[in-house]
Amino acid sequence: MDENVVIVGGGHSKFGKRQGLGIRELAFEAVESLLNDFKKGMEDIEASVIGIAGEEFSGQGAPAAVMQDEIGMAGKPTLRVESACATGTAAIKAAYGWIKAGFYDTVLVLGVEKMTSVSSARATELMARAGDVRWESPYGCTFPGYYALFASAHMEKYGTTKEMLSSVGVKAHHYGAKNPLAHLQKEVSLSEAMNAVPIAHPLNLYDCSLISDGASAIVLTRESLAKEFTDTPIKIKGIGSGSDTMQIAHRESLTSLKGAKIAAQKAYKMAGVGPNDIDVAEVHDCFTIAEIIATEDLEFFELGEGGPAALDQQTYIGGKIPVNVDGGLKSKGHPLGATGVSQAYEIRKQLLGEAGPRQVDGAQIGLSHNVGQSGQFVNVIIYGRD
Amino acid sequence: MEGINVSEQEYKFGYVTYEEPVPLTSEFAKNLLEGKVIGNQCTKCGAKYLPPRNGCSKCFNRDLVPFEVNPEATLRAFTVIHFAPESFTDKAPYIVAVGQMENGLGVLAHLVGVTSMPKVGMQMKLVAQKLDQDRVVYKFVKA
Repeated sequence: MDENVVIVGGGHSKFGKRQGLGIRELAFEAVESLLNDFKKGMEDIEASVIGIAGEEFSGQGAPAAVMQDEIGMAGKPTLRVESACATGTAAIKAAYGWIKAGFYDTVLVLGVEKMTSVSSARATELMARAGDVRWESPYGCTFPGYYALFASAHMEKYGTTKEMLSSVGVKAHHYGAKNPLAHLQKEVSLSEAMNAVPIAHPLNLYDCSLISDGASAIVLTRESLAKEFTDTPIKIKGIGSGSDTMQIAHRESLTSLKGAKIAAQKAYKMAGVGPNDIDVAEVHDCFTIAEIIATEDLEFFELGEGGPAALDQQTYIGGKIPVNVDGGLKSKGHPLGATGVSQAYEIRKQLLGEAGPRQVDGAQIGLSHNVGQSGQFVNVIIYGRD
Repeated sequence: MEGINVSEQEYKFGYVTYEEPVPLTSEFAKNLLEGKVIGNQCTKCGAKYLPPRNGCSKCFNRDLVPFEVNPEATLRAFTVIHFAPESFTDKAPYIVAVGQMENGLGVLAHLVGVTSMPKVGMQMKLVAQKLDQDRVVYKFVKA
């Protein structure tokens, strides 16, 4: 199949603490939202790829099947994908591969997570178990902890400051306040962000993404079929992936994610574009330091310049590269399996000019950067109007 | 005793055990209880592993020989965990550190006995601490 693969639909549940809704209701809400601006119906979707990171949060084993049934697709092929927090983009990549291989023409990608049915301490434990359970998790290093390790090394090597970290959180809330789907829709001041309760030094509450429930969905098809679904398809121009050592102590660098650099290079090359061509980016800001490192790994800024650029508002709309203007994982929320699909949903909206008060004027090329665990899985996707 | 499998005593590594113990970790913990940090090295390509591995991930040789690791380490990165996982709630706050050791080796462990905020680049030493008859951890102390 030599044609391009395009996105012809997108749906998104409200992210947040969605009491009373399980994974099936969240999945339903995302697909219902997708159908609102979709010229065709579910009967025209041949298969699904469903991304969900953990079953221990929701309680449902083999969770793809229950969602496949709830969204009326029982009987059609489905596949559950898991790559920790990079699950959503892994699902997009799997669907892209199915279409390219000629198995199906039109595939639904659905990312879902239900996280708030367990306590925060329990959720922290479940996520910490995605670290090396034999050698590193037995020391109680949390996910904020792993990124705090990166932060301490970045601060030492480049002079990155707490203020720079906090400025990333302030931006996230600035845009999240304008996103009706975001988990926390409120502005936060720099002093509030800098003085919040410590989680894993030097990261505090306003440096950490939220534990959220939510779902997001997109539909992929072949470019030649796109017009049947929409007048404005969005092309997937490039996908790159990478990984890194399981143990943090074995990393060559603690100030950069090797897998992200590899993924970015591959994606840029496949798309035939470079970092300066990107008009709007969604990066995996599970923690403020993660966004700073991402903007360096993606080569928006030189190594060590991500912190000063954040403080200088170069990642706001009107700056060098608008980043996470939907509120990011910090303010929009981070339902693990939904996140990568939500990033693609947002980039599509931006490239369609439908992002409302958060619109980056004239955005033609967008990028999403989705990281699993602490760099063990990375996918970078580049999208274009044409 | 024919037919009865008399298993050797099992030793455990770390504050908690999440996976089924395997002989490799039991042996590592037993050595650590004796105060020795034992990594292993591939007899074919020379790759060194700390923590030890069951086989060489570079050349798939299963013939690895043990070596004692020099406990000197340099602090690469650290954090103070305030909000801990469920199993560690009663231990918080605690310092988690990544130490750089000889030959590019390194481990993640708690850093203990420091009275002020640690400094990246400080010299440390990896030492064993027995938690129970059969359970042990390694931790960094200031050199």
